[in-house]
Amino acid sequence: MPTSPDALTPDALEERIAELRAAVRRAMAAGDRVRARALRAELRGAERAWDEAVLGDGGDPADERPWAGGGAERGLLPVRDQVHQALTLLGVPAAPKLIGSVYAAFFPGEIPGARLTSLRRDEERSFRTAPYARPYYLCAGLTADLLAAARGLVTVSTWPLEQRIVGPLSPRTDFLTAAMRVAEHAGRGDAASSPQVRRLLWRFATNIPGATDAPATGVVGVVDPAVLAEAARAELDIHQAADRDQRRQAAERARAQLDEAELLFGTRLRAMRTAASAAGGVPSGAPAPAVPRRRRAAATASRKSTASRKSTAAASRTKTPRRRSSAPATGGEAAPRTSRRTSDPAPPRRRPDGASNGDDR
Amino acid sequence: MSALTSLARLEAVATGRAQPLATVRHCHLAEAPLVMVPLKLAGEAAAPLAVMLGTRPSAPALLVVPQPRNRDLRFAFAADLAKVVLDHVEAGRGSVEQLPPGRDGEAKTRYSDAPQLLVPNRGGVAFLRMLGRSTRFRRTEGPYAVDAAVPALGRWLTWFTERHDHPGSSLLLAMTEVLRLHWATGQSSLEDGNLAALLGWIDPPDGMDGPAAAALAEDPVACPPAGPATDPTFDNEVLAPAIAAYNEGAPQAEEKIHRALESQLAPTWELMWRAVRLLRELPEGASVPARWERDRDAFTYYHQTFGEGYPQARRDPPVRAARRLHDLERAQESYEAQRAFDDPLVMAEHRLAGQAFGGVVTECDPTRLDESGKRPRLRPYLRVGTEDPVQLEPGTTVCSADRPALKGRVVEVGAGGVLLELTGGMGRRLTPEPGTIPQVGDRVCFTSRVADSWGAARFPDREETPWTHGGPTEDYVPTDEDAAEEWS
Amino acid sequence: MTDTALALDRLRGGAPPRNHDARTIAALTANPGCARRGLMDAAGVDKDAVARALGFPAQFGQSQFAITRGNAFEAQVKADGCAELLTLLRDRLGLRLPEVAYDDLEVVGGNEGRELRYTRTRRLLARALESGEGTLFDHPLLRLDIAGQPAYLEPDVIAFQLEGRFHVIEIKSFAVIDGQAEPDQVAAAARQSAVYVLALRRLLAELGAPADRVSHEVFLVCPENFSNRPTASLLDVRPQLAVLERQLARLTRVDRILEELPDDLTFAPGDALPEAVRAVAARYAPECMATCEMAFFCRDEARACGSTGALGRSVRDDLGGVDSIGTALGLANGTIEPSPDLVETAEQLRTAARLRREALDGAA
Repeated sequence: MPTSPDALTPDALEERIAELRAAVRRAMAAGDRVRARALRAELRGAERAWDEAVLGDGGDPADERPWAGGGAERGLLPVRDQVHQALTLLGVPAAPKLIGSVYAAFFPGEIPGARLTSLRRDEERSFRTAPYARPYYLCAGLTADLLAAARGLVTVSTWPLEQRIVGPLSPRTDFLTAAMRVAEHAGRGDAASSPQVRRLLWRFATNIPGATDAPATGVVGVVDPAVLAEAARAELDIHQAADRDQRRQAAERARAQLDEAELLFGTRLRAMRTAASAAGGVPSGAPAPAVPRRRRAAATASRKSTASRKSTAAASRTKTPRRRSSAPATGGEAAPRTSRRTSDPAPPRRRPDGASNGDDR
Repeated sequence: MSALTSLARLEAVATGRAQPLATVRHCHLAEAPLVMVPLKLAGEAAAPLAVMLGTRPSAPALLVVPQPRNRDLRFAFAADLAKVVLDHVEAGRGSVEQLPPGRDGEAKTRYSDAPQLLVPNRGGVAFLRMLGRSTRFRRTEGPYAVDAAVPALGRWLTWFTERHDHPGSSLLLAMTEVLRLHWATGQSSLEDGNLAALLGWIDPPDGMDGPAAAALAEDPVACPPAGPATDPTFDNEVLAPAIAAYNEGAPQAEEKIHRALESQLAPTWELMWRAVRLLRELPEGASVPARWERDRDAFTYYHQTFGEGYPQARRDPPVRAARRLHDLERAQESYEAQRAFDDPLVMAEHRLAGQAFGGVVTECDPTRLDESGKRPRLRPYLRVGTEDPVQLEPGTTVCSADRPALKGRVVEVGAGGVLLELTGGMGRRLTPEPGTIPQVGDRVCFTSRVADSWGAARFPDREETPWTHGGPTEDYVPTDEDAAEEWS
Repeated sequence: MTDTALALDRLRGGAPPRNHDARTIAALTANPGCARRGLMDAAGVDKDAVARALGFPAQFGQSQFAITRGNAFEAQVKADGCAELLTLLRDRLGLRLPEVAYDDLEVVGGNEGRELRYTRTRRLLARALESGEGTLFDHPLLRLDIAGQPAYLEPDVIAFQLEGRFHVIEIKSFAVIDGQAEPDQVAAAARQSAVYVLALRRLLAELGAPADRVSHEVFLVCPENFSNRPTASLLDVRPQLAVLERQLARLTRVDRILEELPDDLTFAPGDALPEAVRAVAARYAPECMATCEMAFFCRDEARACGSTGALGRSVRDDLGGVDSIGTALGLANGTIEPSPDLVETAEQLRTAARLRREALDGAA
């Protein structure tokens, strides 16, 4: 019905934009995502046309795709090298956020945020395509009980397996170790540390008992790296032995059970019932089950793995479900809903491999 | 809520239009009030997004924070807002009246006028309260320095929101609350919280009745919410992309944000001024100027002591809290009684509750003397025939609605009406002054709800706060910590 | 399957039951007298779809700013092995220094299946009870039976102390300012958390442990003042627990509602849907708008038949509980004779009408 957007005057375009906006909003409010998507595309078109008409050639279509981390300096290093540097400093498995903060504090520039999230997947693909072609890979941490990829952690492939496996105490011991490494690094630098370093030190110190005590010489409210390191060491002593044991035992099991790729990127299998009951939740004192049985189980497991990996990969790639509230909203004063969760903790679709979606039988 | 207001709602449903709950306006309306329509960012405690404000309907100013999470932009917004609000406060003083010296002999003054802020709804008041809280402790030097006007803004906003809690105060008004005081719609209180729907019932556009206008008002795309909360689909489809574009430094991004927010604010702006016009059409209640005078007193005091004062403390110490509560209860009682004297519709509430009664005088003994005491006193008898469900015990003090000076005591309540013994307001002699006593056949109304029927409070001094309430408190002195508070 | 289960299945029109979560279960306590809602929830009917099919879609959607803020705050509190959370727990609950173990129950070996997660949660909690191992359990999956259907619930975190007590931890992004937060938000959090406490207690009962090993105090973590720093408060949810247990017990009596209804009743989409929905009585009040997707439909229905409930519970109470606007008006202007139990109400309404007229005439 309307003529092509280019032919419309800015005023007419504005009207069209307002109409389309209203239509998109109505579609979303009614839960009609398909229609909303189509309308949104039209809306973007109209907005672009308006930009061109009003701003001249200020808007270059190529620039449209938003680049993440707008304003951040882009160093000359590829992201994987930046991450490698930060992890080397930290020396423990770390989450992307911490990696980013450490990099920003001690190295020039910043790591663009969006790239970090797809990093592990990219690295795994690269490894499988050409194993060991690169000097190091950024890979997963493995959970001690199920030897699966630990959620949200990045490690370096050249680290010993014990360092890359995380047991129940490891998140805390790694945090304390990281605190010590960061404090050490900060203490080495010049006296006037940047606000980022100070912030990073503060982040550690407020969560370690005794780390915010005022140093002998210094100013209240600023963290003394030496005090921080000392406090972290003190608490680390409490957990370290048990943590080391758990990690060592888990590493033994992993070497027995997993192939090379799995050792780097974790097993994606649904835990076999035997393996799960044997391996899962075993306190450090319990004896490990006989090795031959497990190897057989591992063999059948690895045969199955190639077949079902695609589907499990597809299922596990589903991110945490979009949080949507389904409350009706009255106008004006009704307060927005506080609950964030969808009704289903798990994705509502049936899994592509036809496996159970969790219903009772 | 009472049977009367509920009945009015039923009548509204039946007629399709709101029904009056008042015959006069019970609040003061300034000549040029400062109307403010604020918007805040979802998910945050007090992240302002924009505000449209001004004292004339034709000239709104629009202040916007293009990136609400940016601390510097937030405080720049606060500084801009401070300028407008503080200007309004200064301009609101009018001239200085000289008053007779107080009890301590000191000369007292009172400003002839005071500033007035109007916001759309209770959420708007809460927003100002939060904004006041988040700005009044800011320091003007040091690492987290802000513009000097910002803490002043915070203290004034806090003062306005505290006065709002005071019954009968007109310094800060929430429009939905004021409208609901004067009209009953055919929808529920919850729905009345929507300013557009409320006005739709009170003053529907041509060709529509109340329900139709309200239905239109509930569509957030056609009729943006009055705030401070924005509509989620607006946030997701319009605002978020606009802010993202601003973050990337896209050309004209800031202006696009302005226009987007203006589209959400302008309709409410119009509604606010329409509401003001509707309220001005009502005659002002007789006791409104007296209450406004109390407001002016409070304003005068706060304005004159502003320089030496500190920002208001976070929490009240126990004695102050108890005293404030007592004062508020007294003020509530007083306010309700005053409104009843001003407005027969409000008096009707008290009559329905049995605390007042009205009818025609059936008997009158104007010269009756009470000779039981040492000296004879003038105690006329008055019998008022009434069908009202009187619930007053004999001996209750009442006064006349038309002339509160005329006081009496209930002698008996019976089928024939109420027998009153008049005790005051007739002059000093043993015969009544002419015109002070109602005659047989006159229509009268007497009420037991009188302003100031509470005694003065007696609270311990601060130093003697009992241990049950935490013991004596210390003076509040703001510290560096307050200024160092982070903003998310 | 029992008769009731069959009937509920038929009501759903054969569709899979909609999953409950803590919010919807908590909402069950909001309007216990509503048969329509009670039946739909027991059957797991998708109320949102029904409302849309009836032409009264609930407006939903949450601002992405709120979502982002909520997610960011939770991520922050849980970062680095729940470092900030541990600090709060040590401060407020007296968690001891060695108690730092962290178990992530969100994903089980790459598999997000609920059954597995639930089994693993169960196992780890049993182990904790037995040997004292484990401190923080992140995204545990609990289960609660609602009218024969399992509902999977996911509290944010569960903390376990070596004294043997479990605490449910909820992380919310509304602010606590000067020690106080918005009462409605706190109340909603309390109602929701009570569901988790109940589910956890039932699980412990199955494992043979006494219910009081789950504390009735929920650890609520919120941003402090206007910053992102978290602060914690202990929320006593015993009142909400009591209401919840009562309501859940009543839900099993859904068969009583079913008895009154025709045997072939179904809420499956189709032409007969409006009639089917109307066949089950509702009890609309304006509060429904905040908790139930059917609210707009029921409101329209209530308004169409002139129900006083549409105006609010307090209005209905003021009118002596009279249900119909027409009746109330008739009593007020004397055109309807009151039944014996409404004599007083009628009297009051007539007086009210008289007083209003008098006042309005006098002022005119």
